[in-house]
Amino acid sequence: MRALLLLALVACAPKAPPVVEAPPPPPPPYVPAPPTPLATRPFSPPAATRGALGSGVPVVVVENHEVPLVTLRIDFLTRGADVPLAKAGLAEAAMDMLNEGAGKRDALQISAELQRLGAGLGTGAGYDGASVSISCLRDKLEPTLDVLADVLLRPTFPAEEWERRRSLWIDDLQDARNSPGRIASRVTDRVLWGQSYRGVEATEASLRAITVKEMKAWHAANLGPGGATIQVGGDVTLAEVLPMLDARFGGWKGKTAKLGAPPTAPVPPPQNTVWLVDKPGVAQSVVRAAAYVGRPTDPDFAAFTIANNAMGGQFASRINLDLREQKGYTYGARTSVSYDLAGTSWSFSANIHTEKTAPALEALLQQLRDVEGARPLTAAEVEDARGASVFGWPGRFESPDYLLGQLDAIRTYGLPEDWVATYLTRMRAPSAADAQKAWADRIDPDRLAFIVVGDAARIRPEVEKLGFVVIPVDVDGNVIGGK
Amino acid sequence: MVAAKGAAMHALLWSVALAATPSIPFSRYELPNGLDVTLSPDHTVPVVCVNVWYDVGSRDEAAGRSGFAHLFEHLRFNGSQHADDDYFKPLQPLGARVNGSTNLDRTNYYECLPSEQLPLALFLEADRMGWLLPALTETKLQNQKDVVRNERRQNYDNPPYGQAWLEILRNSYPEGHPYHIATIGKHEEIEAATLDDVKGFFRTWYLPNNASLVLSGDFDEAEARTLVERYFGPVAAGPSPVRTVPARPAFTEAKAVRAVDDVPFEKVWLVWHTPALFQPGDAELDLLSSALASGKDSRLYKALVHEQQIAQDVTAYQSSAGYSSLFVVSATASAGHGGAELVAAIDAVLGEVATRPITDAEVEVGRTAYEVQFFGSIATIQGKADLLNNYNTRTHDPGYLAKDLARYQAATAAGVNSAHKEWLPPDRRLVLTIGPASATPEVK
Repeated sequence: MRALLLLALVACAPKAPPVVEAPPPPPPPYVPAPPTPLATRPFSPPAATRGALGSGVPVVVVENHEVPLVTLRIDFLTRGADVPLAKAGLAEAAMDMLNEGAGKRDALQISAELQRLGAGLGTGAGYDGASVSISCLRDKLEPTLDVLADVLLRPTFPAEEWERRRSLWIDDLQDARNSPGRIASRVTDRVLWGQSYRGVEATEASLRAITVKEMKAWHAANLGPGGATIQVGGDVTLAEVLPMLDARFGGWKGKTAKLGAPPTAPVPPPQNTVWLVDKPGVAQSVVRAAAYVGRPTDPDFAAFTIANNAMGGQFASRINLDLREQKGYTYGARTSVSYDLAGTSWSFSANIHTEKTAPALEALLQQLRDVEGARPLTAAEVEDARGASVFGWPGRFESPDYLLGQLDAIRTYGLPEDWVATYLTRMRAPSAADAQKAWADRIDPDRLAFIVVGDAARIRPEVEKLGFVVIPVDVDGNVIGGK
Repeated sequence: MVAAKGAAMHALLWSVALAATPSIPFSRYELPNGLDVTLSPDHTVPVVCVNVWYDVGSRDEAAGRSGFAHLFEHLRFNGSQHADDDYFKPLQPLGARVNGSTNLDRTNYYECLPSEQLPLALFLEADRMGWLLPALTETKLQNQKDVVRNERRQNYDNPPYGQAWLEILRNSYPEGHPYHIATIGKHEEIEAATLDDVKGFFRTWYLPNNASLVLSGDFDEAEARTLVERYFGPVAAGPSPVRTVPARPAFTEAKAVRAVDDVPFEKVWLVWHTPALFQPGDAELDLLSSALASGKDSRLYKALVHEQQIAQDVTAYQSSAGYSSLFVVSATASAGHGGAELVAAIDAVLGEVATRPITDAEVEVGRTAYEVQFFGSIATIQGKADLLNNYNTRTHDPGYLAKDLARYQAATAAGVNSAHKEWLPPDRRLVLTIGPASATPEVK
């Protein structure tokens, strides 16, 4: 080795003494020009145009002529909770069956006609409503509306198609009871709600108990014009679409759904409890934490949403930066706020490397405790979190979906009519102290429902060491060994 | 920050019946350092999208370093010399949407934000194009290895059937082929990455002359040109990377692979090697997939789900990629049925194409579906930026749209039928089955 090195040195030896020169001065370091903002461009949100069918059904249109596409949706206020437990799934089944036979077409013919038109048609029911919708090219709107009118007004509910759909649904229940992510969502609803409202889910037994006659009755009782609204978005005007709708829905008759009382928010769960679903061998634990946190019309709700942005609602939030970017426990940890008829629910969601499950729960609790103790939200954090909402707002209006979604929420959840117009005012008002207080008033780390789907043998002992009471539950949320 | 699964790179379509002609207005130029710049104004809302694609993907990884292109993408969100902080931090308070993704062929990054903040977005993108390495640390690298391995656990290891795409690539492309290992990579090879790997990869691939910048949305063109020159002009070019395009592999037999997963039902994937994106046959295979499995009246859905009721679902797609593509037919068994039964039923439907060819009407349905999909993808400024950049990165022509559309316009039922015959031989393909440890008993 040494010999080789010597040889190399010899080979490189200069033949003449080098001329010593001063080295050239190093180039000045590159300093990019500081980016300064350009002039702000004016923005006013697009307006919705409102009208009504001859029969009185309200129609709202949000125009957008960028591309020749139209979406149209008919919404109904219905209550999933009004269906008896033994028939759980009835509303979803009735909605699912609408396009399995309608007017003169059978299920395959409806699908073939939509394919020919390049159109989409969707139907569905949730806890708080039901809807049918179409999307298509603007020059195919009339023939697509023909299919929609058949589906909504003249469904035939063929018994053999219900057999097919039910069989597929029962297969899907098995998939849902096996997938860690889907188990976590179902069990969270069950833990918060027991066997009511969002805790109710179709079972194989309830699906087998549903008859075609009951679906027809549900359709007649719930999908009348009295409770309907029509939302249209895209490359069409109100003046264009009204006559198309009147021609097809002019003779629409039916009952207005009699709605049961809306649910009230569930009682908070017992202290420091983890509901654990055992899934042996999984590489990650699916972790959720949830709570009900008031109503969107609470005076301090905007302050809470800003605090949530700062805590976990965005990438650069305390919780994600800690659990992901500092500790590497997860691909992402987020908190979110969503509405339902009972109010608003807050939830934390992350998939955690199995061996880091307890440390991740500990880190989450630390963040939740710190913000209410040693590290309250700073003014800068609150401004950043507010900015994300305020400055990101114009971009949401690029397609009609955002405004239409807001208008739907106004109706479904009984929000003030000027909910969209006052958005920026609401978001600009809260101070850092307001955000801090709204958060502390709502999020009590000791009274969250924690749900974990993971390998119990590997994670349970450490989770218990954190002081949690662990309640083992099955994939449907039933307490194992419970009554 | 997504490692793409085998999402089909669906190209888009135009048909003569269109009421409006789809197009994206743009202008294109090149900086002296070789950076392609495409500008596409749209003043719907005061938002601008800065969209940067690099012509590098997981196909360009060194042996033993699978997952590296995607890991590298993650590291580009952890700061650069003149902005050494989390990439989201300055952008998020402005209401920006920010992300990136890596697939077999390319890596892309974007931020869509209020128009007045265009200088900041350009500054940040340029800084991580030219001055990434001075901000790199071992701590950042180790953290992102953990994050990416959790991404793999979340999207591939944990979900039911999540390993399917990994198995399809592993069993379709031979060892050593750039598509043999999926973009997400193997755990142990992600863990093996070093700072020197990061430096080498950056110097080889992250060059202005290997990148394409698109601005779409509400901006002033002259102002944008000045800003682009200001921030990207000083980025040094490097030797243009060269790569050898491997030959398209071919199955020489009917290959069967079974993998076990914690799932209630067997699911099968039938896989064939097919022509690369934009090559002859690629569009025809897209149209064939529509005729086979799009809608309840399609051939496979009708047979397997509606009539025989042996499957919960069935899909078919041409998964197009730059070197070569895969055509995939997949179905999940219903309770009481199994994978072998599905394969036999799929084969019967595919075999029937010989005696009952795909019709003009079936091709027309596929055309229409692509037409609608095309309009959907240009409905937003982000969609437009991605489309322009996809075309520019793959063909060096952001205006390739017209040629892309023309190939669907030109496709005929005869062409679709001959693509079926040429590319989907029943005796040369892969059948992957993923099912529970104890196979479902077959019910006849």
